[in-house]
Amino acid sequence: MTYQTETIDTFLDREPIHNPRAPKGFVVIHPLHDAPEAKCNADHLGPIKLTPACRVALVAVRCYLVAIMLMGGYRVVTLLGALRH
Amino acid sequence: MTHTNDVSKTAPGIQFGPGDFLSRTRLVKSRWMVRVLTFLMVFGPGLIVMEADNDAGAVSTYTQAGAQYGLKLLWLLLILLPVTYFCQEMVVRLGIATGEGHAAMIYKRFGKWWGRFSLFDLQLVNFFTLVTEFAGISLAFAAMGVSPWVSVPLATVGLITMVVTGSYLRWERITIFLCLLDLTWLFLGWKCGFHFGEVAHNTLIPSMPDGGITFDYIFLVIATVGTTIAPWQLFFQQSCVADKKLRFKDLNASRWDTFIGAVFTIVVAGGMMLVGAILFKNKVAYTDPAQLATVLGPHYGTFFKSAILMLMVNASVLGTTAVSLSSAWAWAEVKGWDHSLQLKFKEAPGFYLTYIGATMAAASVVLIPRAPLQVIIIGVQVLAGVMLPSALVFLQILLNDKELLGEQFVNRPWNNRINWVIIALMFALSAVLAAQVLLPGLFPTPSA
Repeated sequence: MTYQTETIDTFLDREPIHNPRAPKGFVVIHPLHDAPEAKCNADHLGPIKLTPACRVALVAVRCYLVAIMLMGGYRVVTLLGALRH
Repeated sequence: MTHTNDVSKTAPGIQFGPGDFLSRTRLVKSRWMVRVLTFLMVFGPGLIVMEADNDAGAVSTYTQAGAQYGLKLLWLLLILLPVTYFCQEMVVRLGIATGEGHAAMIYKRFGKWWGRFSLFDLQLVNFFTLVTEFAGISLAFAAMGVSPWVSVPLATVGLITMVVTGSYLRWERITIFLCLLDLTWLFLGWKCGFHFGEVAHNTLIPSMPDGGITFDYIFLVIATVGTTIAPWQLFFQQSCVADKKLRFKDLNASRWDTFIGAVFTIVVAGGMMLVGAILFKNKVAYTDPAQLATVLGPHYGTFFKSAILMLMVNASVLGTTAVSLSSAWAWAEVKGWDHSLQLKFKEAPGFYLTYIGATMAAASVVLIPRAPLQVIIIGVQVLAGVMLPSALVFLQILLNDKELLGEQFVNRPWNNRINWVIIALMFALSAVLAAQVLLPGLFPTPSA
């Protein structure tokens, strides 16, 4: 577990100054005001490489969506039939 | 006792950043204070995403659950607490690791087809949800004698104003304040006079309703689950975390934010059930939250009635701002537009216009005389049923993407085991709910 633990010196990007009167402590910076950090970037990676378990999960999603669409279609046909009556 | 100092006073020369009393750079003397201050600075997205889910539809569902089954469904809320936390913790991790929203990640890693499917499904279900939020505003104000032609446009202007100020922090603080107002549900629940032991017993120990398990009961259980976990929440929190620029080192504080938000929202939902349960106790039929307020007003006082109605408005406002923002963030991410609440309107016109357009379109639908609100409510249920399981599967796969996230942020094996169980349950419940709506003939007619 890491926290915002820069000291004054690391915050100022300088060598520690051995001044006994200098303030000691940790600098806490709000995320919105902090320097941006390098994130995990997906731009150059292309499509995800799927493991067998992930492939099974995506097939399940497709089957689920098809089942819902079929139910929706059936409902629409039923309603149309009801309207004709 | 104070361990904090304003950096500008104690360490002249430091380029302390912009910000007000709560957000400026500070020098602290102990690691303990670092943790406290970091948490306070990170706190926000978790509470907002959880409490905004206690929207108009949730107020309706939870009070109905109380009105029909008394305290017998309180145990369900306790079970939903870890479920909501585990789902949202994954988007926190993904958002902090990538600094990008959920829609953008699906586009980049699963390709255009799944990207478009997720985006359009999200936009559609969000639009229908927004209509129900404005219907809640209209209904609550109508019960106070205010015409929808006044309340709905005023609410729309207020909702747009709180977002387009070009300050993430201003929006976040207003929204957190609105979230905290929901604590009034606890006061109302306490005023209902239920014995603490009875409430604790029904929360900790599941018990059968008096009439046994019926299809009505099962569908209300499913509706409660569906109300507590919504697809827009996944998109919203990841985008919000990215917009707030949370850093790798903020992950633990952000997890606490999400956990506290989950506890908060479940406790508030419990308060709503207690208020609804008064009708069950007095054998009064339930119609909607406005009728609940009207019925309870003469017995519990004007404050009680007004509080329920105003809390319903508050729930709708919270739901509207969060759902509209999830739409605007997702759309702008995919389109490649600038999208941050930190930007002025002229710096991110596409993002803000999407938010404004979604809000105004939904408000307009509610003002149409005899608008098919029932069809829209059904649409929300079906589309959420379509959206949620697939969104959870994408999320789970993304959180196993070592190529993208490395070892630091991917799911651990125990994470995966818990999440696959949650996903399987969501699949089953969503399928039953969708089947109930689409094929009502399959199920017995609900009892009166």
